[in-house]
This record gives sequence, C-alpha cells and structure tokens, in this order.
Amino acid sequence: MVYGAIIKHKLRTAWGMLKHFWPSFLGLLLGVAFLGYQLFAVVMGGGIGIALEPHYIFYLLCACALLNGYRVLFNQTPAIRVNAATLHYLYHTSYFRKILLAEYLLSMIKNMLIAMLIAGLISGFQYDSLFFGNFLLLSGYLYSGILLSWIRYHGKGALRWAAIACYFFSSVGLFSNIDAMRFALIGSVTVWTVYYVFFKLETLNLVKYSKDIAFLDTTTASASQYDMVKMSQITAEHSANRKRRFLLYHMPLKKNNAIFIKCLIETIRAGSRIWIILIVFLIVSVLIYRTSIFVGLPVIGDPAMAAPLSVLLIMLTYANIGEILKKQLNTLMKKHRQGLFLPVSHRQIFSSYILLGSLIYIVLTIFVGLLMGSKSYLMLIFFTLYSIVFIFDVFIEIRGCKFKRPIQTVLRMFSLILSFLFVA
Amino acid sequence: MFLEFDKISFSYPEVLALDCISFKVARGEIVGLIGANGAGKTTAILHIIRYLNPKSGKIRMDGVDISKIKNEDFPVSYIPDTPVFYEELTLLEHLHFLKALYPDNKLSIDEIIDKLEILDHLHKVPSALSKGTKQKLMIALALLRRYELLIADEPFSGLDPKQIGIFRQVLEECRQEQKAVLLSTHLLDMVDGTCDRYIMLHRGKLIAIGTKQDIIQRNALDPDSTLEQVYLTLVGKEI
Repeated sequence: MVYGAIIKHKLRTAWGMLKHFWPSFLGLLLGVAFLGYQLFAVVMGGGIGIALEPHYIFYLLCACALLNGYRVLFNQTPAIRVNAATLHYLYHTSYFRKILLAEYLLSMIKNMLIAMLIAGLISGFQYDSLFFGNFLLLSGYLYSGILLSWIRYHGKGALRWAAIACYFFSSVGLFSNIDAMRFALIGSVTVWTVYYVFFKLETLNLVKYSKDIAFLDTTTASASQYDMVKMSQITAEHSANRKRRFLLYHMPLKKNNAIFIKCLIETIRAGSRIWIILIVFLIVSVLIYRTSIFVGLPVIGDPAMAAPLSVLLIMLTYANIGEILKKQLNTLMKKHRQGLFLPVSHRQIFSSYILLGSLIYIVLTIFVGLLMGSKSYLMLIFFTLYSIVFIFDVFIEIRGCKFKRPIQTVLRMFSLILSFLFVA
Repeated sequence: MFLEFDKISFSYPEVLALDCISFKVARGEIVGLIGANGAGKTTAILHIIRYLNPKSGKIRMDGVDISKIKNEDFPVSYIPDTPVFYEELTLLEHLHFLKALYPDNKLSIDEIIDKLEILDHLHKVPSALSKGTKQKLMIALALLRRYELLIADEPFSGLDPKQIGIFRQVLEECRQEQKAVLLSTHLLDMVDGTCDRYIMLHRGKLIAIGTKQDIIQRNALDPDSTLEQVYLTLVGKEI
C-alpha cells in the first residue's frame, strides 16, 4: 500500500504531464530521434564494428566532463529527489531509508545506461575489453558525478570542497591516456563517493532539502494539473526569494564605479535561463558551421546556408547581450526621470555601461573566434567595429532620437554584415 | 517530563536563532510556543523533529537523547505551517496511506472522517480543497500517526471558527490520552486559554515561561491582561 500509493502518485503525475504537454514531448522526441540519428550517421560514419576516431572520442569525453561539471559545480537542485510528502510522512519510518536507497540505485542504472551508450559509440558497438573497460569507467565517472553533487548539496565547508576536488581528480582520470591512472583516479573517487553516501552521509540538510523538493513538487503538480497561473506564480515567488550570493556591498564600491558594479550585478542576475539560451545559440552556430551534423535537413543542413545561419545565431547572442544592458540602462534612466537622484553625470552612466559591454564583448569575441576557427586579425577588426556600433547604439538609447528605430535597424544590418568576419 | 529541551543554541549564518533555550513539556499537557515571526519557534520545532541538530545542548524524550531514538520509534507527529501532500492522491487515499504506515493506531479512518467533518471531500485531490480543509487534512494525517508528542506549527491558519472548535476538541482528547502537545503560533488570541503553559520567545531568547497567571504575577502586570498584551509588554512594545 505504501509503495503502491507513491507509485500511483508518480504515474498520475506523469500521465497528467503527458496529457497536457504531449505536443511538446512529441516534438522533443522527434528532435532527439533526429539528432540521435544524425549523431550516429556522423560519429559512426565508419559503421558498426569500427572504433570511433580519436577526436570524436575526445568530444564525447568532453560532453561527459561538462555534464558532471554542471552537476557538481553548478546544479542547485538535489541530484536525488523524493517527493516532499514522502519526506514528511516517511522520514520517521523505516520506509524512508529504503526509498532513498531505491532512488540511489535508480540513478545508478540511468547513468550506467548512458555509459553503455557512450562506451558502445567509442568501441563501435563491439563488445570487447575496450567496451567493458570504457563502460566501467564511464559508469563510475557519471554516477560519481551524481553522488558528488548530492554530497555537495548536503555538505558544507571542507566536505563541499572535497566533493569539488574529487570531480577534478576523476576528470583528470577521464582524459588520461594511461589506463592504470584512469582506473585509479575514477575508481578511487567512485569507491569513496559510494562509501560516503551509502554509509557515512547520515545527516542530510533536511531543512534545505524539504524546501527545494516542496517547490519542485508544487511546480510539477501545477504543470500536471495544467494550472499554469499557479506554476508561474510559484516560480516567480521562488525566484524572488532566491538567496543572492553576489551582493553590491561585497564589491569595492566607490562613487565612480557604483554604476558599473550595479550593471555588472544586474547582468549576472539576468537569470541563468537567458545565459543558457545564448550559449545554446553559440553551440548550434558552431555545430552548423564546423560539423556536418545537420546534413540532410532542409535549410539548416544546406552547406551553402551554413555560414549565414551560423553568423545569424552569433549575432543573436551579441544583440541579446546588448538588449540586456540597454534594458537596465533604460530602467535606470526612467527612474532618474521619475525623481531618483543619481549623484553621477549622464556621461559616467554611459561610460559604465559601455565599459561593461566592451568587456563582455571582448571575452565573447575571443571565445567565439576560437570555436569558429576565425583569423585573429579579423576578430580584432570585428571587435573594434562592433564596439563602435554598440557605443552608438547606447548613445542613441540614452539621448533619445526621433529616428531611433530606423537607425537601430541600420545598426543591426551593419552588425550582421560585420559578423561575416567570423567565417571569412 | 516527557520532552526536555535543554540549553539549546543554534544559529543560521547571519542570525542567532536560539540562544540557550530550555523548556520542558509533560504528558497530558498543552504548551504554547509563542512569539512573533522570527522569534525562533520553527527553529525550535525543527530541532525536536530532528531536521536540525543543535550547536549545543540536548533534547531528550523520556530521558533519552532524541538522536539515539530509532527513526521508526520516534514518537512525534508534526503538523507543519505549510501543508504537505501528494498532489495527485485524493483525501481518502492520503488517509489510507497513513493508516497503512501506522496500522496499530487505534483511531480508524471512519472515526477521523467523522471527527474532522471531511466526509464531503474524500475524493478530492488537495488542490481542489479550501485552505481550511487542507489544514483539517493535515491534522487528520497527524492524528493517524503513532505519537506521544503532537507538534503543530501555526495550526489555526485557514481554519474557520467551527473548525477551530473542532481542533480544540482534538487537543482536549490528546490531553485526556496523556499525550503532550506543543502549539506554535503568533496568533496569541487563538491560544489564550487553550494552553496550560506558555513558552514565550523573542529573537531567539526565552523571555517567559509558565502559566499565564504565573507570567503576569512574576512580571507584575495587570491581572486582566490578554496573552497578547502580556507578550507585547514583555518584548517592550507599547500596546
């Protein structure tokens, strides 16, 4: 009855989600199927039975390292999740420990399946010692990522740092060419994490955990019951109550840098979602231009369209960053007009935003240039010209102008033309 | 004494939440844990239900350190300030779920349905229930557990006068069954007269403990003062 009720609840939630969001799930499924097929067609171009080329193996290992990096270093949600009601009603019973163990095992199975797929890709789906070796290593590596994330979530002080150090140790092992070292590093981290989580991690941070899973449950239940108003309300409240780590007074504030620091903090707080979307734009643009992964698709897979589509996505990223900065600037200027006293000149406000924008763009240009394999002197030209465009754009924003919209459209067009320097 | 909260201190990174707090709760006694928001009531409760570990001090139940009690023998039932449910299970399914967890509880599902007057809502999921009915369901689920100490954090929230009367009746039955009850609230008029003793907290410090009359006499206050007036005077605010 106890397990039955929990399973019934999970099934009803899943059914509710499927019933209301089936078009999205179907689209996602088709997308994954297509990308999966393309990946196989490109990566396994030699066919089954032929081991993967070394650079593709490197890419796959990079993907694993990025996944574990996200889990251990950035993920704020618990890696192992039970229902908030399960925690509340079963914590003081013998069931809770069993349910938690079941969740650990379920997570292990999921990671083993991913490891099996990647090991299969590496060995060309030949079930030999290479496959089993990679399968063991990747299973250990990926599962230890989940457990390290779990340890970091509940731990504090030295334990958190130990979890982060373990991630770097095992990642060194992942990229090592010496088999003994790979097994030693990944194996020792896996054994330690499994031992620690199963036998030593007795004190969970239950206050934090119960709050987090209650929020996740409520949003999931609202989605399952198609109560979108409640869902967005809860998400907005949660976001507003989020603890900010990077605070204005932590910085060396002075009158002449206050606007710059305010702008920097607001840019960081723009929300992880927008930054993730922009990173996805960049990754897709690099994939379009530098790989044949989309070959076979109309438009996006056409080699003649690779360069224009790629630069379009790059420019979308640049333009969105500009919009984030300009939105902040507009808000500040609006409040200033409404009576907020700012003991700084318009020129200082203008230069603060320009400085931050230029710093972001220089980093972005180097990053994109490296990914796209662009020529360095062209990147320098691009950065110089784009900075001028950005300064002009911000200047129009701050001063206001009768022909603001047409001028900004011309600037967009000019930026797009400039961005072809990435693929020249 | 059933529960001994002995010199407990606890601090969050930026605030001292409990400053060497001690109190006791006997069986058959209803004790009010009262204070304004941020006084430390919920932190004290989170220690008793073992969600938090004290930085110093000990909590004992029947003389046994609570950290030594096995999970399945932990004799506490807790009603949190925010209801917690399986959002896809109906009210009746929740009751059966708890009954399956604690089959040895003498209280039957039918009795609890009658006692809390929730017959009309049995087949509704929690999102379809009013705030008061959700709170009644939380109370029902707490009563179906095996417990010697019932802790309720802001239990009156969302209850209408009739429902408050029902809840007071439930508390009275707990007293008769020699169970200890700890009521945490900032709605002082709700517990005025309901509790045998009061524990008053303010910014993590214990400012008074005892029956209402004891506290009034000890602090030379007006004998006709309400609990709210007593509390506000003790924390130094004008009424």
